[in-house]
Amino acid sequence: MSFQTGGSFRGSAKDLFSPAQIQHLMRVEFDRAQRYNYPLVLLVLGVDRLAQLQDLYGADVKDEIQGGVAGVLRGTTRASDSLGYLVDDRMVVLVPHTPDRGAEVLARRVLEAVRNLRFECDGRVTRVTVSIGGAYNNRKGELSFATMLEVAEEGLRVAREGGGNRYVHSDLYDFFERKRAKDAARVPAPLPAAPVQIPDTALDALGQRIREMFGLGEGDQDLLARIQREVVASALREVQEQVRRALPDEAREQSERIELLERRIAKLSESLGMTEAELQRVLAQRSVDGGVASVYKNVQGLSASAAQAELKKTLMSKIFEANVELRRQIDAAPDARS
Amino acid sequence: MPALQPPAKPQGVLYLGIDLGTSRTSVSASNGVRETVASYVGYPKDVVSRKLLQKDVLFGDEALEKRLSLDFYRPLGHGVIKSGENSEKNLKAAADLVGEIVRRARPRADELVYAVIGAPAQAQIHSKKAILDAAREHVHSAMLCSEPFSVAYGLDMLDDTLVIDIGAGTTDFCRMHGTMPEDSDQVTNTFAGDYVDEQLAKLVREKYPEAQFTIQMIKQIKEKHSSVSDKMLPIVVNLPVKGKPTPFDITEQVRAACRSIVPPMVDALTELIANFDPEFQDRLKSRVLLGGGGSMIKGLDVELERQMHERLGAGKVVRVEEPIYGGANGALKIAHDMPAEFWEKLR
Repeated sequence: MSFQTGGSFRGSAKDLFSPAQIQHLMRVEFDRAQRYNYPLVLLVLGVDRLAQLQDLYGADVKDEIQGGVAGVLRGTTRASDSLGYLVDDRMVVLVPHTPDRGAEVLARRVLEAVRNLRFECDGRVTRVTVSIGGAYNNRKGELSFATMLEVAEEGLRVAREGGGNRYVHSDLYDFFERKRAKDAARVPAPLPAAPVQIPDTALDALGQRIREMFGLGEGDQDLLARIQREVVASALREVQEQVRRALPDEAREQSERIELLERRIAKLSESLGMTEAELQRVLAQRSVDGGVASVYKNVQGLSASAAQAELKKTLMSKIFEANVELRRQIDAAPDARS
Repeated sequence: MPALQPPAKPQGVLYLGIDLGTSRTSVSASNGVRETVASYVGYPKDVVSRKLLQKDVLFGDEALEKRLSLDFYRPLGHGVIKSGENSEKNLKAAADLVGEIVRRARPRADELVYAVIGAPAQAQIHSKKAILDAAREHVHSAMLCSEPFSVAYGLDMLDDTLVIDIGAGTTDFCRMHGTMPEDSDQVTNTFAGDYVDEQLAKLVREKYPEAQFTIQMIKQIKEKHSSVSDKMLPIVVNLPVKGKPTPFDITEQVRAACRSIVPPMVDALTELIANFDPEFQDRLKSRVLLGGGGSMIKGLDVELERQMHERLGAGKVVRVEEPIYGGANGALKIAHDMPAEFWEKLR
């Protein structure tokens, strides 16, 4: 079974950034956009009913269709936009310096171009559509990258459930931001306190101190024990409360450190990629020698003004004739080596 | 081997003069490039050495240096591609060597490459076929030419000249008398650079049996110190004895080894002069042109003159200014002077 893409858009999904790469790029670009206050658009898209098409036409179809869509994305976006694919066959387009109206124009252009793609399978023509979910960063209030991605994915879900071949911007930023904040605040409850073993010496010291403070005598053992229990319980509660308060702060600190490290990794990956590309370019230039041009554009031959021109002319003829004769002898005895 | 296809739209013609020698292969090109490489070719012995060397084939001194990791070839012997055992491998090594020397001439992809290759004066047809087979893969058209003739042509010494081209494997003699030299005008013998190496090794071994050396070491010593002069500075070299570097004075051995090729040279000169027109013999004696790597032996021109005076009554020997490139320069000049239709017909 052969499956061929028609139309002017051809490509390969493998040309796009991998999920890990695009995640890094998106985070870096998002942080930059927030810091320098420029508009950013995120589009998440998926081919409608791709699984059914794969069942119908075979495994190669998926790659061919995704390649075609990747070609469309390459053809309709700018070189500065980032294209990648996420898990579950979704693709993502990150479009910096573009307002929401521009995103709608881009999305409609992609929808139309994909509709015009023509896939031929065993003589039958098949067409596909895509669904697109979009999100922007041009809103007031706090916005995290995770929320932006969730909004775009929600848009894709709604577009697919609406029948596909459409673009949806769900505008559910506040909902996802609150949900995210709630999730972040939902720190794991402190583990049940293990039975606390307080050393006898500490208890003795505590008892002594209580006796001194309250002026208790030898006959007040029950009261002393009750006060001791209360003091210990109160101290443990306070410690647990401190631990509970410290955990979110620690989690936030760790999260920030992770983000910082991810940004550094993305930056290093980018410069590593550029360095490798440059090295490849230099290596390629080394191995492919352009050569040095000859000073002659045509066959020269002997100049009439050359010294002993006639003699040299005769010599050239003789050398030529000797070589012709040599070829003749070689042709006549092709096994001349043996 | 497949012949090299010409470029779709040739933008120029690169002429090459190639001296395919037993010891060194040199090229002079019409783009100004001149290169020489020792005629050694090596292929990595196994995957490990291939990975270590990062190359599929090595040439020249690099091949010599890494020869323990290589299947090592010196594909030319006595001026021609070696036949007999390993003949196929020698042919491939020679083809790769020609390819390398052409590559070092740095031709552009859009140029036609026409080459004149110097071959020994009396090379047999199978040797010439092997050289042409080696060349056709890398150039668009190739012609062979007698090596000593190309040396003379390069210097415009076409009349009444005796050319001596001392290579590693052979010494070629050619009588130039204003026309294309015929077989009777040319003599080749094997008293050349390799012979001097063998003699020197033998003499050193006889004098200092405890000294350890290889023929490569002897060759390097010869290239540095070779001389036939009566008065020369002492040649003291360090050779290992049971692993310890030990100084040896080999002055006499170097002189004797280098002198060993002079009598056969005078024999060949005598042969070529004696059967030439008696009226012009004196002119031949007074124009002996000494070329090739062997001409760099110090005092050789003077010694030749001395022995010519003794045996022939007269003699005047002139050295070629550029021994390494003399043959290649002459071949380049022939390539340049060759008419277009000749090149076309041999493509």
